[in-house]
Amino acid sequence: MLLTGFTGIQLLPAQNNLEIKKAFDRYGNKKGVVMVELTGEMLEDYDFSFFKSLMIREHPEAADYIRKRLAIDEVGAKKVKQVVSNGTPTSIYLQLPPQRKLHRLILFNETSNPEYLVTLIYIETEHDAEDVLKLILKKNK
Amino acid sequence: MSQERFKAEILPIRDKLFHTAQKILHEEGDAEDAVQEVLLKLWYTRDSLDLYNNTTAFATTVTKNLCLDKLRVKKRTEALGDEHHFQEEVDNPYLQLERKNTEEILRQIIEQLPPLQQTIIKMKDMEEYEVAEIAEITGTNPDAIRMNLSRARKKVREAYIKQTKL
Amino acid sequence: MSINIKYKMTFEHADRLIERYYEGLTSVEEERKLRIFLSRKDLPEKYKTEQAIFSYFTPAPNKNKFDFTRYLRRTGIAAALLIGVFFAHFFLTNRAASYAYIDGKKITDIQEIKLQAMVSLANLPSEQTLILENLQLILEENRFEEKGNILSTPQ
Repeated sequence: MLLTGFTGIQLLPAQNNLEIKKAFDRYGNKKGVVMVELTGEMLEDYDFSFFKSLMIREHPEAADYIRKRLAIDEVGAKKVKQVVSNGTPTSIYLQLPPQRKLHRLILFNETSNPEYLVTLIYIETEHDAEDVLKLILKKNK
Repeated sequence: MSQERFKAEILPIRDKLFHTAQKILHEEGDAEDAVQEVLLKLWYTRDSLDLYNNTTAFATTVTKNLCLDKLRVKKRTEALGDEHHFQEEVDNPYLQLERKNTEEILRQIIEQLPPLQQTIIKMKDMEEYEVAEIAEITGTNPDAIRMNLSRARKKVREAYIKQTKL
Repeated sequence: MSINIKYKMTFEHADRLIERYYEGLTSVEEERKLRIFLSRKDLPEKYKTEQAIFSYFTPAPNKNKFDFTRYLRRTGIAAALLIGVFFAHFFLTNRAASYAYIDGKKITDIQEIKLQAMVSLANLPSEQTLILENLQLILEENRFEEKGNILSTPQ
């Protein structure tokens, strides 16, 4: 059930075919980047089963790179939120088509105030993705 | 988490956060602004704070990250100065080629405000917090908040008038 | 737009409020009254800027709807909801397979990993009422289109 890539990163099948995996692979180990992966079979019965995030500083091209990946992943997905600044989306929240029992969310944010910072978060949940998303948004209000 | 509980749990670490900020930014004014920004950020994530067992570690990490980011910006714009940096954004002709409806103009202006001013103006004008409430959350006095609010609003007015004169 | 038939704000009063607004001295209630004044159609040119600014800050369409997010904020209820469970199981269980990379260096200290996960979520922007309203509109649109359960049969 679990696949291990050369980098030692465990991949759940639901993640294999996503373009954003390339962003994690490309930037995860770089300087100025924090990558987190939280996983475990113990979470099976609970509200989510997988969490992966990237926080990128000092790589100004990363935002465009990720946006290009998202343009592919968003096909067939529900774009639940988007903030556009100067014609470029600086926040994108996607709800991907459910895969078996799994609902998947991708949260992307680019900010340059005060300084350049890109955040990319990938979440898998067997529960209502909409509820999880709404709560993340309400949490931030 | 209620406002009372937030105050009781978070404000006691304010001094610690201030010292962390000051170590990085040196200037008291900058450190004070940074701490206010951090407290507002913590306020907006307060419901998650309940469940993380080391709030101090989290708050300190957020403070360090924020201050290091500010330091990078500071070093970059040292020659130009803060006001000039802001003006530069507003005068940029390429920005002005964008679709120019009122909402877009104002949104851009507000997004370019210094972070603390931006948060305060949004809290007051959009979310209807009173100045006193914002002061409580950030552990400062209302005059400090009022001053930032006033500056933000005046900047918005100036920038809007300037952009719509064209 | 509500019309107060007992009191129609005078230009003098409005001018004074606007002055105080720019000094940061107006209360939320005063700003509400000012917004009503500025939404009038027959105002002279000099109010153009303030009209634009106040119009921008007006929460979009559903003004009369019960502001759920504000209610949550005021009562602190959100902590008890799903996001709480979200984090609880997250942080309370030890994730042997979890890890973090900071500047290319692998971290296995679970506390540090959890901390960074939380920091990443905190980086997501605070929501303006405006954008949240847009989100609600989008979700409602989709609901209308699909006529029922959005999370329909898996593909």
